[in-house]
Amino acid sequence: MNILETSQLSKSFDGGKTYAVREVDFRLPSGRVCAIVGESGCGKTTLMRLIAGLERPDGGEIRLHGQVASSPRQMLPCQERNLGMVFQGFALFPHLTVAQNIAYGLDKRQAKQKVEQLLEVIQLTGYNDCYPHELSGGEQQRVALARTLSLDPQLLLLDEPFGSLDAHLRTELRQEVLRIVRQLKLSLLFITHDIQDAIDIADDLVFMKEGRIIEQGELRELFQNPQSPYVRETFQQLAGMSRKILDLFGQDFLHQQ
Amino acid sequence: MSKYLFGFLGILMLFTSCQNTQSDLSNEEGVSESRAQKSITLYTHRHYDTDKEIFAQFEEQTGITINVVKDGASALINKMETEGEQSPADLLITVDAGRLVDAKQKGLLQPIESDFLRKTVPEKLSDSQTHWIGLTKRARIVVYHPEKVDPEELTTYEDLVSERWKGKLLIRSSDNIYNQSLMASIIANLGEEAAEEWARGMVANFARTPSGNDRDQVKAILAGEGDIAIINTYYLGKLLNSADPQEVEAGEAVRVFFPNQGEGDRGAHINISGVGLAKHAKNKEDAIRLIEYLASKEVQERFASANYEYPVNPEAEASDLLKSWGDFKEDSLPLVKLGELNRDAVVLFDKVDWK
Amino acid sequence: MMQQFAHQLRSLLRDADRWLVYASILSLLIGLPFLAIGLGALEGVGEMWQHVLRHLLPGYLLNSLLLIVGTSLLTLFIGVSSAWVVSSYEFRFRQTAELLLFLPLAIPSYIMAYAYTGIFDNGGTWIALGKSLGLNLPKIDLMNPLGLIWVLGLSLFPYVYVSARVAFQNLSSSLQESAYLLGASHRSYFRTIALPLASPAVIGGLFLVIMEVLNDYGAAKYYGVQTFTTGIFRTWNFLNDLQSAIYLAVILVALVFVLGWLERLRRGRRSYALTGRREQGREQRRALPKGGKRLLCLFVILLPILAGLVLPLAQLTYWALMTIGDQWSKALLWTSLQSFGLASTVAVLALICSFCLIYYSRWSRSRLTRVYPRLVSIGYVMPGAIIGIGIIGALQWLVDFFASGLDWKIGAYVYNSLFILLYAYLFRFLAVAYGPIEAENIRIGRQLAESSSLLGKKPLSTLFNIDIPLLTQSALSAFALVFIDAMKELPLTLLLKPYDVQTLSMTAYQYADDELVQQAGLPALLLISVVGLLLALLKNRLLSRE
Repeated sequence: MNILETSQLSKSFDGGKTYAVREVDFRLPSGRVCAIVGESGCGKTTLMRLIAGLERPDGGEIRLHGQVASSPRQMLPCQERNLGMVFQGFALFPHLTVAQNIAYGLDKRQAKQKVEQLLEVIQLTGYNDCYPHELSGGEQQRVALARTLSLDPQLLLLDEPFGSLDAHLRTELRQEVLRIVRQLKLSLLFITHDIQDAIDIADDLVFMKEGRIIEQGELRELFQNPQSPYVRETFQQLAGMSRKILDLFGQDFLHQQ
Repeated sequence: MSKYLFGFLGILMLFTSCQNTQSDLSNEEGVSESRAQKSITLYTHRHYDTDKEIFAQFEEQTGITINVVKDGASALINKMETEGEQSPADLLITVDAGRLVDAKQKGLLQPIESDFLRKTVPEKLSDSQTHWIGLTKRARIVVYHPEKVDPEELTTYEDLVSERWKGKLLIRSSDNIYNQSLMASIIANLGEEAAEEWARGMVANFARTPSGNDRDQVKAILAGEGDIAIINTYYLGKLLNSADPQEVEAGEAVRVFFPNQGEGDRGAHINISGVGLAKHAKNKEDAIRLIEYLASKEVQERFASANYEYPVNPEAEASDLLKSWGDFKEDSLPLVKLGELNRDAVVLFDKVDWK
Repeated sequence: MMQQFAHQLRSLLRDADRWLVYASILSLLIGLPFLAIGLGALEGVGEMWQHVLRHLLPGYLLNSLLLIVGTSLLTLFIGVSSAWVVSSYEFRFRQTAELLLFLPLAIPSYIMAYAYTGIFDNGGTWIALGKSLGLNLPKIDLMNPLGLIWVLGLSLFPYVYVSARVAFQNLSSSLQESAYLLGASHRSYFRTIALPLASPAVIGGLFLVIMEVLNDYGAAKYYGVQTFTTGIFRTWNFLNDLQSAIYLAVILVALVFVLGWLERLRRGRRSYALTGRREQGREQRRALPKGGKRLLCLFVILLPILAGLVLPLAQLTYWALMTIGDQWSKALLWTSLQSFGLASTVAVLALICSFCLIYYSRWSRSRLTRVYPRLVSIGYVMPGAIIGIGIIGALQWLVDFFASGLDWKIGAYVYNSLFILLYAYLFRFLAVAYGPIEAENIRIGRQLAESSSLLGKKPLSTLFNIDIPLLTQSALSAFALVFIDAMKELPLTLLLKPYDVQTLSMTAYQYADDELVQQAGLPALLLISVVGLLLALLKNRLLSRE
C-alpha cells in the first residue's frame, strides 16, 4: 500500500515558462523512509510543499492513501491530509513557549498530557516554559518535530531537517529521528542536499535535478547499479572519501572503541 | 511605557467619539423641522473670534443653535455645489462680493425675502434679486510713509503706474481675492485693454515680488522696502490693536489715503463681507432671522467695529478709529460686477505675470 | 500577445477564491475616490486649459522642480551628514542629539513656515532683537522659492536622517575593520563603503521627502510660491475650472508614478543585494573627534537642531505667551481632544484595513491580492485636495443613488458626518500603516502561518493566534505613524470636516490665513508637543538596527 503517490506532477511559478517541478512520478510505500536528494534549486522543496497541500499543482495529481488530494482542479485542505511537516527553519512560534508550541494544534483538554508524552519522546522533559530562542538548534529541531507529531500524522515531511546542525549533532539527531519514526510506525519523506544523511537513514532514495526525478529506487539497488552519471559520480565521491579514511587508519579503525 | 500611552489614547478616542455621536444627533435635529431644538447651519469664510460672541448672543436670545463650518469661500462654494439639494448649509458668508456672485451664478442661492433688509441695506451693496446682501464694508486703499511721501502726490489707482512710484509700490499676490476684486473694478471702469495696461504698469512699479499678506505690506513700509502699499482698511485697524508691539509700530508708521476722491471721480474701491441664503436651506426663516439680527443697528456697530470694518446699516456708526480716517467717496460700481469679472481679472493677472 | 492575455485570464479565473473577492471589495471601497478622479479625467479638459497651459503650467513645473531639487539637496546634506556624525563619532550628549535630530518631524512644514517669517520678516523677532541691542539688522526675505526650500528642508530632513542612521547602524564593525586593514582612511571608508551601502535607504527616505514637497499646500501658499498643488487650487477655485484642475492633478500623479517606478526599480535591485550580504557582528566603532574635526562635527549636529527645532519652537512659544490670555480656553482643549480622537480612530481603521489586506493576500492564490495594496496606497502620493475632489465625487454617486433609487435623502447625514473625513484620511494614510506591517510580515515569512495551518488551524484562528501577536510591535509603529500624519494633515481636513469638528492643525492654519499668525502659536505648540512626544517614544523603534 502506497501512503503517497504522485503522477505527472508539475508546477510552474511563471505561467508556464519554467517549471519548478516537472512531470514527477513517485511512490512512497507505507512505513518506509525516503530521502529526496538534490542541489538547492532543483525543485525538491516545491515538491514537498505540493505534497503538503501548500501549493496547487499545474498538472498531474497527488494521491494520499489512494485518494486524490491535489490536482489542478481539486485541493484537499492541508489540515485534512493527516500529514506533518517540519520546515527548514523549524518555524517555531517565537511568542509561544515550548509547551504552547507543541500544544498549538491540540484540544485544551488533552493538551497537557500529550505535551508531557511528546517531550519525553524527544527527551526534552522539563523544557515546557522555555521560549524557542532559548534553545539550541538541535533542541529547536526536536521541538518542531514534537509539535508536528502532536496530531498523530501517518506521514512525516521534513525539509532539510539536519541542514543547520554541527556534524556531530547531525549524526545523533538522524538516529533519533529514525528511532522515533520506527517507534511510532510512521512513513518519512525528507529533503537533503547531503548524500550522507540519505545513506544513513533512508530506505529509498530519489535524485532530483532541474525539477525532474533523474533516478529513484531502493538504496542498495541504486548503489550497486546507478544509471545516471550524476548519481554514479555522487556515490563515487563518497566512496573515494571512505577509501581515503580506510587507507589512513586501516580496516581496524572501524572496530576500535 | 508605550502600552500605557496607547491605552490612554484609546480612552480618549472613545470619549471623543461619544461626543461625535452626540453632535450627530443634533445634526439630525437640524434636518427634520418637527424637532423642538432649532438650528441653522452657516458656511462662513469669516473666522474672526468676535463673530463667535455675536452668534452666541443670537443663540441665547432666540434659542436657535448656529452650526458654523469655517473654510475658504471657494472651498465652501465647491462643497455646496457638490452637496447639491441635500446640502446642510442654510447661509453662506464670504468676505468678498465676488464669491457671492459666483455662488449665485452657480445656482446655490435664493432671494432673501425681508422688508427690513430691503430698507436697511443699500442697494448697491446687495444682489439685484437679493440673493445676497452685504453685512460689513471695507475699502481697498493706499497707505503711505508720511516722511517719504507727500500725500499731494497721491491721487488715483490709475496714477500708481506712473514713473514716480517705480520700485516703491507694495501689494500682495494675485492669488488674493481682494486684488482680484480690485482688478475687476478696474476692468469694469476702464475696459479690458486699459486694465491690462494698468496691471502691466503696476507690475513694473513693484518694490518686490508680491509676497506676504496685507499686514506684511505695511511692515515692509516700516522696514523701508517701499513707500506705498495697497491694503484693506481693517488690516490697519488690526495692526494698531495687535498684541505684538512690532505690529503696532508698523501700523503707527503709516497714514491712510483714499484714492479717486477728486471732483467727478468714481471713489475708492470698496467691497463687502456678505451673506447669501442657500437655495436648499432647510431652515429658511430662522436663517433670515439671523441676517436681520446681523444687520440691525446695535449688532452692526459691534459686528463691524470688532473687525474694524464699516457697517452697512446707515444708522449704525463706524468706530472712532475709522471716523478718524475721515469720510470718503465710495465707488458706486455695483458689486455684482466684481464677481462677474473675477475670472477675467485672474486671467489678466496671469497674462501680465503678476505673481 | 492574445495568447498571453488569454493565459493570464485563465489563470486569473482559476485562482479566483473567496479571499480575492474580499480583497477586491475592500480595495474597491478604499479606492473609490481614485476611480472617481479617473472617470472625471475622462471627461476631457476644461475651458481654461489653454490658459493654464500657456501662462501657468511652465511656472508650476519650474517651481515644483526647483523645490524638489533644492529640498532634496538640502535634506540629503543635512540628513546624511548628521546621521554620519552620530553614527561614527562618540561625544557627550550623543544620545540626546540623536533624538533631537529626529524631532523636527513633529513640526508641520506650514507651521515651520509661519515661525520662520515670524523671526526673519519685517517686524520679526530677529529685527526687534537687533534693535534692542542697538543694531540695525536687515530682514531676511524668505517668502520666495529659496526660503521655501529652506523651510521644507528643515521640516523634512528627518526622513533622510532616519533612513541614513539606520543604514549606517547596519554596517558592521567587521566591515569597517576590513576596510581599515586594507588601508582605507576614515574618510575614504565613508566615501567608498558606508555611503554606497547606505544609499538605497537614503534614496528611500528622499522619496518620502519629495512626496511631501509635492503635497505641501500650507507653506507654499503662505510664501506665495506657485507650485503644482497651489496651482490646482488656483485653477479649481479662481479659474473655476475643475476639469483642468483634475488634469493638473493627473499630471502630478503621473510625475509621482514615474518617481515611484524609478524608486521601485532601484529597490528591486537592493533587495537582491541584501540577501548576499547578511551583516553580522557589532555596530561599527565610534571614534572620538579631535581638533578641527570636533568643530565640524559640532556644526553638523547643531545646525539642524538649532534651525529645525530650537528657533521655530522659540518663536512659537513667544507667540503663544503673547496670546495665551485669549487663546487658552476650554474650546482649545476640546479641539486638542478632537484632534487626538480623530487621529487615533483613523490609525485604528488603517490598522484594521492593513491587517485585512495582508490576511487576504496570505491565503489567496491570486496574485491580484498582492497588487491591490499597491494600488490602494496611491492615496499617499496624491495631494489632499485631489483626494477631496475624488471623495466628494464618489459620495455624490452614493447620495444620488439613494435619492433617485430609494428616495432616501441621506445627503445631510453623509456630507456632514465624520465618516467622510475618516474615509478620506484612511485613503490618504493606508499606505503609512500598511508599509511597516507588511515589511515585518515579509520578514517573518509565511512558514509560521503555514505551520499553523498544517496543525489544523483555520485562517482566522491563525490570524489571531500567530499573525496578530507577531505583528503587534510593527502595528504599534504603524499606529503612531498614521496618528502623527493625521494630526498634521491640513488640506483634506479643511475640505471635508463636519462643522462641529475642529482640529489643532486647522486652528493654526486658519489663524495664519486670517493674518493672525500670533494666535496660531498656541495651537501649533500643542500639536507639536503631542506629535513630538509620540515620536520620542517611537525613536528606539524607528532608529534601531534591522
